[in-house]
Amino acid sequence: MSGAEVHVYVITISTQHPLEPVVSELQSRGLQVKQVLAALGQVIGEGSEDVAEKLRSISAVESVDAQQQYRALDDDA
Amino acid sequence: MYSNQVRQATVAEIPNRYVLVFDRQESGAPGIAAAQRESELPQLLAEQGYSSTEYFPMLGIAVVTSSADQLEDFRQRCAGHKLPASVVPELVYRILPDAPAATDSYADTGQLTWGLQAVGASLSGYTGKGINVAVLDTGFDSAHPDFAGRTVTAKSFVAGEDATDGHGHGTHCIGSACGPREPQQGPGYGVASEANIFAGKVLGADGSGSDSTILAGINWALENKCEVISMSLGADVRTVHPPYVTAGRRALELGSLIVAAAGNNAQRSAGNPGFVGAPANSPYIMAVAALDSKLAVADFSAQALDTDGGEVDIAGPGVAIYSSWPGAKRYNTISGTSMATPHVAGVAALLAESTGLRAQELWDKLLSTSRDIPLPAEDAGAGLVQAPASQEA
Repeated sequence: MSGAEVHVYVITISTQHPLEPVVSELQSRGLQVKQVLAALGQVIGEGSEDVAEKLRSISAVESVDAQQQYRALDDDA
Repeated sequence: MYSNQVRQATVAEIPNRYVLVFDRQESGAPGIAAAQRESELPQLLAEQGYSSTEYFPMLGIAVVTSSADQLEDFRQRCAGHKLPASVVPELVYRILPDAPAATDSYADTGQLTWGLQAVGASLSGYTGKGINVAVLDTGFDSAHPDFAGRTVTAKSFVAGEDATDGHGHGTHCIGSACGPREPQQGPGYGVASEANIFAGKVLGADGSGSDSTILAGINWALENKCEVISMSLGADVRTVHPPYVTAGRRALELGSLIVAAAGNNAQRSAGNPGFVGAPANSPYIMAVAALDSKLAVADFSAQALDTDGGEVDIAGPGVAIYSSWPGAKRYNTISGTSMATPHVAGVAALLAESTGLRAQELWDKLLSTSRDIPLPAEDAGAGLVQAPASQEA
């Protein structure tokens, strides 16, 4: 995975912190925010692996995870 | 072992009928003498005008027809003779019709799918009324005639696609969770037949989706106060994906229970038991295994992982499941842990309705009321999910 390649990430924010200031900080560190999921305290955004590393150093950030793919689970799928 | 087959009885008081118990109620105290039970008591009863035909001297118990005044007078008489007497209303007992004996083999009938029979939905007086059930899947055929008049809220989180089901899987899962028990044609196939349906499209017409769509769907379900969230989707990865640890935990904190398919990555007949994949391997998401109509674990149904959250929590009907399908086809019969999951979600809605329990308490209730089946917990968890019994009339 190249450090410059862009991926979609799920960023989970600690409930101890208000969401909006953290979202601003994520953006200031280079994340292109796509969705803010307030009930879950999670943010979906795009950025490089280098950006993801910067996000992991924010104290309010619990985890930064590269997006996974899923499929319907009927046995014929 | 079928631990949940409980016989029940209803009771009602009979007007002006009382049971008189001549005995000392204190534990360990000596009972009244045989001479008193055999001669003094029958005489006292006769003097009070009570029939002695329902006096049982061996027991020191009489059943009498009496007014309240007459009864009080008799109690004072007994006290004068230093005879301890307690009075309770006579009750009538009715044994409820027995539930059919638990069986380990089912078949679709003209009235009900085997799945509805196996989870006991057909015997439940509960329908999920007032409970919001979100099914996060490939969308929904809102024009399906079996759902006319139902409360359905649909939303797509898939870019470029509306909430219409272009695949079929979502409509099938919604049918098992929330479809009718008495459709106009064919067998009943829906567990929570009066629940409010929230159809979140998180998988595209190709049957696939991503964290972006699925987490958005969970967030939407929580915003809409869905008590139950059903996800018949997964990825064959052993590693717990942290976003679903948070999502499952926050759902429980907000009063919602997420159930998810354990996975279809087993091929047991070839010696491969598979493993519970993401997101069902989150510790806060209930993982559902699939059973066939003989209550054997399905060949494809994934086995527990040896990690926190990697357990199989419960099992549901998941082989040859008949349910709704989009378009002219209307119905289809398919298999998967996908099919077992909405059965569990539907029963969760019935239990949420019948008990008022939510979140972790609802989770615990689902497990504690499941039917014990002779399968290892690593394959079927706590057993076959069971609907709550009927309300008493």
